[in-house]
Amino acid sequence: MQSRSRPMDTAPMRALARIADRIVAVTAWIATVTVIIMCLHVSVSALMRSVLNITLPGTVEIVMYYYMVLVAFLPWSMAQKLGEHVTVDLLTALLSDRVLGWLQFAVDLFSAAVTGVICWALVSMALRQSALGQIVETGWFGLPVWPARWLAALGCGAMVFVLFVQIISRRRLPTNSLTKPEVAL
Amino acid sequence: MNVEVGLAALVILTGLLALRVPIGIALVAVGAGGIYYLRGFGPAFGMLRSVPFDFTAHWTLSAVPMFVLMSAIASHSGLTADLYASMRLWFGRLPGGLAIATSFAGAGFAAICGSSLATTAAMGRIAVPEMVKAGYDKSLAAGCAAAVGTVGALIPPSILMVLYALFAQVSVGKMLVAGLLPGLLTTLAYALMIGIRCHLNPSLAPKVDMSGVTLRDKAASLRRIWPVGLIATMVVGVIYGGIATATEAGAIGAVATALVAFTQRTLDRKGLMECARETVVITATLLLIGIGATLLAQFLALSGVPRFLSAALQDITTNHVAIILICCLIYLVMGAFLDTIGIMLLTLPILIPIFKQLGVNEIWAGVILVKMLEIGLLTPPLGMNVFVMNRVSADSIKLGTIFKGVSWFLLVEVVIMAILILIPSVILFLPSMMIG
Repeated sequence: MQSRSRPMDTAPMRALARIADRIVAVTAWIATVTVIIMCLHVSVSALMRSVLNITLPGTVEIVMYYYMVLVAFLPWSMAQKLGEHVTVDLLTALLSDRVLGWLQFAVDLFSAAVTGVICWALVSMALRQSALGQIVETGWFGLPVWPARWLAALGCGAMVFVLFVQIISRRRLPTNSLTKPEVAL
Repeated sequence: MNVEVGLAALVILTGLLALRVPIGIALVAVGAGGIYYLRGFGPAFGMLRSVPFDFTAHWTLSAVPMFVLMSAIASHSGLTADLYASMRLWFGRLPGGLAIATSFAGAGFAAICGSSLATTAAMGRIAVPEMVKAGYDKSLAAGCAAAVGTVGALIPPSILMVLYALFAQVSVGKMLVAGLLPGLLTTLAYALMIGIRCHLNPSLAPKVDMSGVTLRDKAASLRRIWPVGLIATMVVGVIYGGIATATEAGAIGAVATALVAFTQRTLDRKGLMECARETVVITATLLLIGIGATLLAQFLALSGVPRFLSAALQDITTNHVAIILICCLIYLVMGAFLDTIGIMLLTLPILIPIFKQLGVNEIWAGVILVKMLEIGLLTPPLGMNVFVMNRVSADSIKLGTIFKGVSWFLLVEVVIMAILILIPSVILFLPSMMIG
């Protein structure tokens, strides 16, 4: 009975959880540093334009295709780990812990399926754009944006992996696992 | 037929949300699933290939992380303490002076923060204990701190305004500036209500001894808060003057706020990283919802639901005031179980086409909807500002007491909403004067 009330605590499970932890830490760190660099880059660009009448080439394109993509997609896995994706608590107060545990399991499976399809679509687009060598013209130079397609796919893929680990770690955990998985995620 | 599919999809979406599927995931599933049902795999997969990236790689949207970062730094570095101390010296003599000071300090903080919850939390920590200690009625003190947070989403910088502008395809600068006068009007109306109430019933707010405070002290207090005033004015000024975009204003505002906090030793490198981390998690979850809302909007457009609803609405009324009142009612109901950004992103794919079809001014409607969302933060059962105030007080001020205090501010809100709905120029005057 005890094994039914605890998450799977096997060596492969711990290894998977460690990998997921590392992926979350790295992607979140990159996004965190990116938002600071973005802030400084945009400020310097705006000040140079207003004060010195000098335009910093490619600022808008770098912000749009790199900073925004990194900040938007990479933290998805961390948000999943922390249970920060926004949900509606409408009926959950009426349900028992046991039902809630199974509900969360089903929601995670559904989320993984949806995120998996998004990831598939993003990878497919990244492959296509890489083959075409997609670039955007900044007025000064052509900025390759096909790598950014891979960054988006990477962020989405990281969330799928975290969901996968959460699902299998919850597999034998029907209760008390509503908000956070029990493994060290 | 397509309309029925669209309406059925909205029912399924409600079901998924009720089952606690994350809003962003539910929106993507219903949006892409609906396109698949109507047009087949190719178009649905094509949308999934392009929408997430194209929605995110957007200059207008880049204002969101900058505003969130500015807000996080402002909240983290406790700039509110000096603001409140100064306002206290200036307004402390008035009836209910500490509560009035809380209103003005809250508005000042909102001008660099933009988050209702953060403003309430900050004022709840600093101003409420002092008001309670001075013998103020607890419901007045806590109600004031909870209510003043709501101006956060009106006075620029405001994330809700940026998101609305993006979906309504209106100028983000005009949208941000449009919230300024309603925000200031709300603050003044709060102060006026507090003053009148406390004048009529002095037991609510015993006089605080301010006899030793000189004009020199008051002037000296401004020296500590001038950076906040400067940053707030700069952010609004550069957007209003067309000197910089909202993203640039947010970025410069965030850098300036960080510099002030570093100088005042209220922020260090670790704190900055913490703020940045908080920023990216908030931004990423928000953008996932935005991606889902865009897919839903595409699907609904294919299904013809907005056209159907706008025709149905036209059968009832074509009066813009009546239409906006119906929207307010919908928001009030949704506010019972959804957070502000969730409500906005869920409803805009339906409301914006209706506004466009019926010729409703989108900026006017946007400000009123944002105001309505903020009022939802004060009303039961999900009055988030009230819950934040309760948590900040470590439950020493009960929810019932705070809701009681907030009810007076809700009365003021009814008057302000009536003014904003009946006199649209209060909202539209500043945007109409903007350069560019």
